[in-house]
Amino acid sequence: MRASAVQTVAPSLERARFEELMAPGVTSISAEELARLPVVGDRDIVRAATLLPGVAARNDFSSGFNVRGGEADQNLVLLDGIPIYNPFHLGGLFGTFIDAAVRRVDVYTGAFPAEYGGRLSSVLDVRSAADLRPGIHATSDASLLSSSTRLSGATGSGRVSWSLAGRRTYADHLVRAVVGSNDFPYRFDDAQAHGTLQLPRGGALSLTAYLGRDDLNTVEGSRSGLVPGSGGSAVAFDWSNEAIGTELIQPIGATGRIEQRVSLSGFGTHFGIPAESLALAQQLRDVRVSGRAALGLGAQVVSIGYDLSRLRSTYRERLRRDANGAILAADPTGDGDTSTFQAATSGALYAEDSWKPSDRVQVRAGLRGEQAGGWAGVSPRLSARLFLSPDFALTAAAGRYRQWVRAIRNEDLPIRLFDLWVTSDSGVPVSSSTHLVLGVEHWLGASRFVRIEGYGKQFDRLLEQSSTIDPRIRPALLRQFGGTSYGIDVYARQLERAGVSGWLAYSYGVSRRSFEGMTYFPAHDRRHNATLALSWTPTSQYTLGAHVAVASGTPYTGWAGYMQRWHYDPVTSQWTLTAPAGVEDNVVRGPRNGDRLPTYSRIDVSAERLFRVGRALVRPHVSVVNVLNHENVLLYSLDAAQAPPVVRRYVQFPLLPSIGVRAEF
Amino acid sequence: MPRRRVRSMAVVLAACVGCHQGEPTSPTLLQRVVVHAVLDPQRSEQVILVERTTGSTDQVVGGSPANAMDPIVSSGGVPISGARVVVYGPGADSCIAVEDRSLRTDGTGGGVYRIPSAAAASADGNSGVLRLVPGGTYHLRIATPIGVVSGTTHLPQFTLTVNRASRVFNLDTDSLRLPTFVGNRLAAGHLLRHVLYGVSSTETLRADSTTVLLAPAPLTDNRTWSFAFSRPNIRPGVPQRFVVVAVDSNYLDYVRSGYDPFGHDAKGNRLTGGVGLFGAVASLVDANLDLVADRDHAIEGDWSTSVGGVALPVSLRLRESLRWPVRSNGHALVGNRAHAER
Repeated sequence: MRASAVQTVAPSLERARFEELMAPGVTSISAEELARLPVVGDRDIVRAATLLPGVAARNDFSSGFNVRGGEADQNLVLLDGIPIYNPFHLGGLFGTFIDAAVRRVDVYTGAFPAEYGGRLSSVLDVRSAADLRPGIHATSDASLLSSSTRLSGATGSGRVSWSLAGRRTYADHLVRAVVGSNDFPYRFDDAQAHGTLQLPRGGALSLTAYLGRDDLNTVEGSRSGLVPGSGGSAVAFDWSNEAIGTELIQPIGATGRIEQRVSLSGFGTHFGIPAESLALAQQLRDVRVSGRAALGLGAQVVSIGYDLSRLRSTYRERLRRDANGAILAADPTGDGDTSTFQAATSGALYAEDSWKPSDRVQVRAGLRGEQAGGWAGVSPRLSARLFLSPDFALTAAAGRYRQWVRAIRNEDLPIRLFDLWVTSDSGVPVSSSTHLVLGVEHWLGASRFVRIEGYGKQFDRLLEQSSTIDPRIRPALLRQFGGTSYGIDVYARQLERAGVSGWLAYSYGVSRRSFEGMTYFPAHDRRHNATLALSWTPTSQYTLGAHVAVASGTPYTGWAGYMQRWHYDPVTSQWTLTAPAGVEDNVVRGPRNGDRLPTYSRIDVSAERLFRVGRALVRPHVSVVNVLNHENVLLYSLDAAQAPPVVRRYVQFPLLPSIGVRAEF
Repeated sequence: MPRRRVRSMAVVLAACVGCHQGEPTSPTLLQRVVVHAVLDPQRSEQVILVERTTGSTDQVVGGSPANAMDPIVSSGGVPISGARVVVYGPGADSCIAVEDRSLRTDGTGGGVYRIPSAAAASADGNSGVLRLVPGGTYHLRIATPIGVVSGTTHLPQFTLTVNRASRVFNLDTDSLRLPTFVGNRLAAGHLLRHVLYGVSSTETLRADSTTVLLAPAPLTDNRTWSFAFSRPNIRPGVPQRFVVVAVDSNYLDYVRSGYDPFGHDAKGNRLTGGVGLFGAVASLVDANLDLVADRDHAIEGDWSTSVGGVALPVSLRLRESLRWPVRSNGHALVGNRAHAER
């Protein structure tokens, strides 16, 4: 029941995190807190995470996020321990996971412990909700864009609990009905299932499954069945995530615990422009086995664990050819059709010791040995916390992190189109990062705290495509670069309760990257980022929410005008001018990311009313995104065909009202 | 990716994510230095063009400059005069380029800088002359009032002398090969040009290349040798020129890179502090071949017409070759008419 949930759920999570977890930069958001945030479209646990300190989204349309200066593919997203490779839906309108099926999310923004590996910057650990109430219960959400339903319940003894959730969007039909055209040729459907069997002696065996399929398609006969696009603008683009895994947790004695997981995670994408005979496709399968055993030995908890992964990926390119079979100009490399197959086995062994030598001191030391392909390395982790009082602690942590499975893309592209995953091999190095975190946390009562953390990160052997728009992968065309990030995060939080709750987050960050002697700010570098997320429950029937965001602009590359492109003919030793194929050929941009977009600001508000209809709880809600209709710039584009040329501005979400309703019984 | 594809994707995605367009504004343009320089050991002086970006597309043209003595200005460009242009060689040597304009009284030659040069086996030698050494690394630094530009190029391996003498080449038995080099600084790519009659030519620029340029290869195998791209034009009985030039990665990238709407600098730029090209090329093969082929069929040889006609010449030389086919439109003699008339 929502009314009772208002009382306290989160305080125990956060307080336990403060007292026991011994890892810096960890924030937990419960489903109840998520439900209070103003939303447009669907509630989104991933976008809610971007409201936390140190976490930032590039823009309103990006479901990807950057953590403390790291690139967007450096975040490990786990659903009940199963890695999800591309956990996003298009455009920032839709949540990644079905809100009602999520119990909580823990966000590790840096120096995470040894049990996590394979990513350089963060861990987003999403946990499924379990319904322990006997019988069958339902939670349904309906909004202008989509509907979802979750059925859940437990057996009378409570030994088995289960949850099935599904969602289907209909924004495509809505837009077609209102506008009369196929201006929104996008749909997706997804499903989540979770079940838990309670075992003797406190053990539990759980099963989690996730399926998401997205379809952006203007081609006749596509899965969406939408009106075909016109001529060369027809695009067929779909992607899907599938995951299934099981987890066994068994306490051993009074202080021991064993965890064992087996999972299969897959990702597939297809992109095609039929008019140009272009087709790209990737299929990825990750079979993973992992386990962990922990044993309490007085003041110490010693744990050991392992991860084994077998990842297979196939990437196919079909490119346009002329009548004689020659590659057209669309393929400047002249490589032609390419199929890339990778099969990589990786493994990790780790050991960790959490030690409390006194009530005031906690130390967590870990060592993670990792192997991927022909590479092997050791990643040490260390964190320590000193309690100056029961409510005031200093934290220091450091760690070394490696990543061998990465999404290859150029982050200068403002909208995330593709994530094509490749693994390290003889031609693609393993990336690494080093974190150093120093922080202080002070609890002001039982439900309020302030945390301040400074961090520094060093990145080595990162990779990106040399082009922002060419989705083909050529190891020879990948840029290898490094960089640093440093900053400070401030987080003041009022935990969930009756009245006002929420948080204020402020982040100051500086990120730099260097490539062949050139130093630049990465496109996600945001100097200042402030977020206020508030909810107010004046009575048990009403919940009001507000979200205020103010952030300095992210970098982009400006323009320097035009140039004549001279061509030297080494046969005749003559200089001639190259006739441009289009005016864009002669455009000269400024230094990489040398300019910055204007300041971003957005205020969202929401209101929800609780009704009781028989045994059901009905909650209609209304939200308004960007109530001030501030024009936040997404990107600038130079229209060189105009004389004189002009810069066009594309803006993010305008004022967007939305309504919806949630019903529970 | 071609422009149309980029636009298609942008339009669809913009529509889908719901972003809308604001009012257009004038761009704030940052003036940058534009440099074009290609080191070529076959030349006795190296030319470096230094200009600045312009604010409109009016000057964007193609073709030869209207005035070869004043190429930048006559092409609508804005030269940068008075720059300090220095090329640093692989040894301790460096040379300062002199602007044409400073040597003339008519004010032409703005932005055109020259350095005397010579191909050499080692970097040691006379000062004042840039010694271009096979496999050598060269640095360019240009200081201008609006910025400092620098770049690096690696001269591909090359032989100091290139044989340009004409010789007979039997297409059925002879082979033409690239000189082989060992060690570092091999070419990033090769420019291959086939010149027919000294007038028309075809060429390709490729990063991958076999060492075999011409060979008596089977008809169906077009990948055996590098000049296969011009196979329909390679005919016996006609003197032809085959040129192979090694190019460095800067030259290759500058020519081949595509437009990137969210990229930086300019297409294929590898300079720091400015845009343009600082590359290197070296001729490896420049062969003038009098192409012949074995006669192996009775129909081949000199023929004269027994019945006069307006459409037929009086005498014909016929060749038949499965290896060197010429496309025909279906009428006898049409395909080889040019041969027959020579």
